[in-house]
Amino acid sequence: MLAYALRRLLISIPLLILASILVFYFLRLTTDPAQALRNPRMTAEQVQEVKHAMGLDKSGPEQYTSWLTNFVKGDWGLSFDYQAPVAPIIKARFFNTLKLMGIAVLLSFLLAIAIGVYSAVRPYSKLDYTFTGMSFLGISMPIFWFALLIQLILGFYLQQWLGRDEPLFFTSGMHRPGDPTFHLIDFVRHATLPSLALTIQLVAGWSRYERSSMMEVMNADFMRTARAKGLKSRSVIFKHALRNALIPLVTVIGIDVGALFGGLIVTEVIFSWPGMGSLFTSALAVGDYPIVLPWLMITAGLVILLNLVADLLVGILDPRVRYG
Amino acid sequence: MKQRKYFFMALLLVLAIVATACPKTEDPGPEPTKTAAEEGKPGGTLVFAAEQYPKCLNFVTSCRSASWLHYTALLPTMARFLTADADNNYKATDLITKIPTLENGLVTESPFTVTYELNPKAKWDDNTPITGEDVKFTWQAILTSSKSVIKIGYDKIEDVTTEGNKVKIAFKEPYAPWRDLFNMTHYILKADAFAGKPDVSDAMQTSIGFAGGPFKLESFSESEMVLVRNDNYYGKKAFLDKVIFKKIESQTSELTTFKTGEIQGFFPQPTTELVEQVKAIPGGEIGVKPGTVYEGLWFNLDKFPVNDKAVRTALLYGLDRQKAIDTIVKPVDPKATVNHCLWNVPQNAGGKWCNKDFPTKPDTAKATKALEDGGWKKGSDGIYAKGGQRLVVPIATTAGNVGREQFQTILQAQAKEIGIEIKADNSDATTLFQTRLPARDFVVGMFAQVASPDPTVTTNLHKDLIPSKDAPDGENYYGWKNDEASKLMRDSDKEVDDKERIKQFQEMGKLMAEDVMSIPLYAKPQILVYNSEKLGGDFNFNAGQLAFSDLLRTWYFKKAA
Amino acid sequence: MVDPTSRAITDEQAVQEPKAQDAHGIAEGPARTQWQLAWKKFRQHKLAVASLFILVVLYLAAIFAPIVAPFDPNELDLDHVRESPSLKHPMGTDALGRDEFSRVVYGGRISLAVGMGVALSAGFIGTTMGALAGFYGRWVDAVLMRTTDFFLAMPVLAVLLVAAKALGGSITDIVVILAVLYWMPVARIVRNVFMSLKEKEYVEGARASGAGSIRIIVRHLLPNSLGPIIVNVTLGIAIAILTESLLSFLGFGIQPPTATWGNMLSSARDSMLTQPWLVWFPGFMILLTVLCVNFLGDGLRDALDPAGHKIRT
Repeated sequence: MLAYALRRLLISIPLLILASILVFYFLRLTTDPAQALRNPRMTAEQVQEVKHAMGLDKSGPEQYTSWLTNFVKGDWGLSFDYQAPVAPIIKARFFNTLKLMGIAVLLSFLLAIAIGVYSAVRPYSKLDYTFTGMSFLGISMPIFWFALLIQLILGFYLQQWLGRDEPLFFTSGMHRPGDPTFHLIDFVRHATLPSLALTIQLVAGWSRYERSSMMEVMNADFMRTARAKGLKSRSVIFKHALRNALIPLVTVIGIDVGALFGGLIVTEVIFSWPGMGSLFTSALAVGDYPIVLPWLMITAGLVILLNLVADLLVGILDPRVRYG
Repeated sequence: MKQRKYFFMALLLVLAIVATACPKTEDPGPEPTKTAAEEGKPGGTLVFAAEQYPKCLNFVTSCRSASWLHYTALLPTMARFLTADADNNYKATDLITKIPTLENGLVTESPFTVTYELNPKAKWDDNTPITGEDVKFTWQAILTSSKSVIKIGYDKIEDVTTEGNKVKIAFKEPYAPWRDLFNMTHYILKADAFAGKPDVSDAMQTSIGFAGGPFKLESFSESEMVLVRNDNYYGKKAFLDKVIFKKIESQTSELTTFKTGEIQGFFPQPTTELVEQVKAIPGGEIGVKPGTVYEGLWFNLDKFPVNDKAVRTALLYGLDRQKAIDTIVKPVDPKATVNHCLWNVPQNAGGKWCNKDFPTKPDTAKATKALEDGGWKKGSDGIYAKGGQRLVVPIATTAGNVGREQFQTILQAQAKEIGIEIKADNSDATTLFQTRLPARDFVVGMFAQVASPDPTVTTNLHKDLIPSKDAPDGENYYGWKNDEASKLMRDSDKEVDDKERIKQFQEMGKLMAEDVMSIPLYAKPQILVYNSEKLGGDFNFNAGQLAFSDLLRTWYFKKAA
Repeated sequence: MVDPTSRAITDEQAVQEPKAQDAHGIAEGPARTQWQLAWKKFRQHKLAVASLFILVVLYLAAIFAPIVAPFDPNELDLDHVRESPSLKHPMGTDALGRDEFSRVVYGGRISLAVGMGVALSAGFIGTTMGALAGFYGRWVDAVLMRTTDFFLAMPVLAVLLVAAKALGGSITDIVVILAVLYWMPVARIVRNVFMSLKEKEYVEGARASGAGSIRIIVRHLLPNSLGPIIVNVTLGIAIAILTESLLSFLGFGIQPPTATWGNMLSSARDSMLTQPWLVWFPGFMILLTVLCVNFLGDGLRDALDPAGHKIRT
């Protein structure tokens, strides 16, 4: 097991480095970090000064290495727009996003298993068809439209229907204005709608995948053997089948995390959630590349990390993988 | 088994949420203030959306170019001599006893000095008095801070002296736009807050630490800022306990949160459906004010094809601007019309600076004649060409601003009919205003300018103030090099007699129109959306730089929660 | 990482039914090819068939847009703005008086073209990469697969947004960017298929009889991977359309006044309560198209790829 873990870890590191190189060059190629220099008010000396301060007078690989060393040290430069260090800005947002993503992934995972297992055990039943139908709808609808509808229906219309002064589920922000300390119920009321928007999209895909995995597993030889041995149906399902069906789902979550950020960006923008996603769009919109570069690094790193965790989990669940 | 477990977990979660929904008590909500007893006007916490939330607070450095910085953190909290009333005429604040004029002797012509008589009760939020030393400190801070930008006017001050409660500002030469100093986008700093060091470049990043107005900035984070009532304010105190400006960047979210009551007001961009949507919300009230912010088509006179006067004339007469305004602006402001003067608006200061210099009606015959006389010939695709180059006019406006993009589309269709091809060349607001404009990287810009109560246009239009390393404070992005007009600008800056000044501006207007140096569009409606069921007070806001900030102290909640 | 579909890949979807033979070994009865069997299976999936029909209609409408659309989608009519659906304008008019139906048709052109373009390009790139990796194996495989891993690790939308901002929002730009970011799933599958098949006896046989690599790839290996490729390419259309609309919604995609379903939905988002037709029609078109593509993909998978090689994106 240890060897397996080490192997996976070792592969992750060059991947991370490769990611950093590609991200760095990609941004240098496609963006203009010196756009502020196109200012006729500056003298030639001033232009040189700024170039030097930004390290733009060094060669490509030199720039990369100096950036990388700074990045690892925690110095992520100054934001053009905020005129303040980038690192604290991203850090604050990061935990906010983590909260949202954590809830959504956890909920989706549980729901996907519940729905997938049920559908596999009772295939082609009415409920199965309903779930399948809803899943198709879920993966076919543009998430931003869906989020807007949730905001309207469960935010505004629900409030009207309940006749409340305040909405039951808040439609923007992470906490009450002016009260950034953490209150559980308040947080839940703010997080419900955005998590719901994310969850439904995830569950739609994951539950179908889980269903087909479960069905495959249940029809597999070893299951028939277990049943033939006389084990009770329920225990057979939950001990053997589920364990095996969890494997593909865990792997898929690893793969999907990268795509998850897409839905996250949109959801955060619509619900004004102060997370990484909304930071990215606003920074990108104004061309604040000192924020964009570390952002890409962090998310790439996060995805690689989560994939590693997924791989390790699969290793625990599926002995074949460790020794194969 | 596992399924049941998950089911119960979910059930518990749902029950928890329902449990919080039932008791309709509001958690930390508004409570009646001391003044409630006096006037029956409850305070409470106002939550207001900020569409363009400021990134930093220092109004001496480049942070100042964010207009929302002023609306939110500064205007309600800072000390200044003058403000503007609802019609954008200058008005005295609580800080001074009267507006200095020639008549009352507080303005002298030679030497040119302006004396402000401070209110003896004027004090900062810590009860120390506001004095001329603070004014002098501010002057030095603006002039000498390493990161200070736009010091125009402050470099014309010779000295600031204090005598009792009189602050005398002595100028090197007559400076007509003196009323803008210390009042419009620069405010009075408290000298003690900076330990007497006038280089304030690195201060005021995330907090200010003092207040001279009816409110004080309590906290500033990346997504919201909290203002609290300044209970030591020496003038009429505000009713609201707290004002929270919350960053909400999309108009859709603003509307939704306004509907649910999460915010009680916002200051939106005009879009055609806005009025309908607000009226559909119970309690939704919309105040629209045209004036002092005006849209135009601003030419970069050094770029093809608008360097050709024939083209400019053709655009002036060939586009039916009123029709476009009827479609885009009238749904918000039913009285919107084409502006007939260029660097001002009829609604500003009674219209005394705005003359009928420009034609407002289209005349396609004139447009065609101008082009043909200028040597342009219509090509086979219906577009004019000259010397092998087609008449393509790129117009740059702020991307994502639906109203402007739609306006642009209408102009495109109209131009096509007279043989001109308009191309959309849009950028996001920050890139457009902070990068492209100073770099003069545009052919035609379509955006708004803000008129201060003082009509000076020197920084924007003087021939020597085209931005360059020799003229770093210059804002003549348009490249207008008109000798006569430039002379008039300098003269009018020194002309203290309003009547004379008006004549000079009339001359300037004629010259602008002769050159067709740009094309006026319309006065952009400033819009305040607020919940009239919940809020009471004065909502007749100034349509210029000061927007609604001055009114915040009159607002109160109609009933305590 | 573990490939959940790396169980023994059966090419038994290429089931050849034993042909009925008479005493002399001559085949009798109708000969059934692999494709005819697939079609029979496909027909059983009613929703997929219906979806195919709908999609064909949509694509035809897009191709023949100038005939189908009653108005020029960019023709302004400032006297008839924001009108609700009527006989003259079956989907109403928008804020500048343009006919919404015509805009939906032309918008469909772009959205559907983007969808198809991305799917085909990504499919082509992916197949090539996967074939190379699967066939040559070893370090070619290692490099290509690590690249795939890397791309899968990137937050695709984020990279997409940066690229869109840098390159501008023209249609070709969007297609290129999306294709470059979505070829990985196809590559993985093709590679897996190739890897498992190339050790099979008939490939050995072909090699022994002197067939060159290309011949082997094209004649023996590709046809057997065509099934999963088709399925994934089809599903790629759905993802491309959704992504294009997402880009437009965030303001990074194809800019107005050119109509795409995504930017129509985006400009009208505040009008949900006041002019709902401006929101529901483009939104519904996206939903319908993507739903049909998904059903179609599902049906195709039943028919061509029952072992389920779909790698999810």
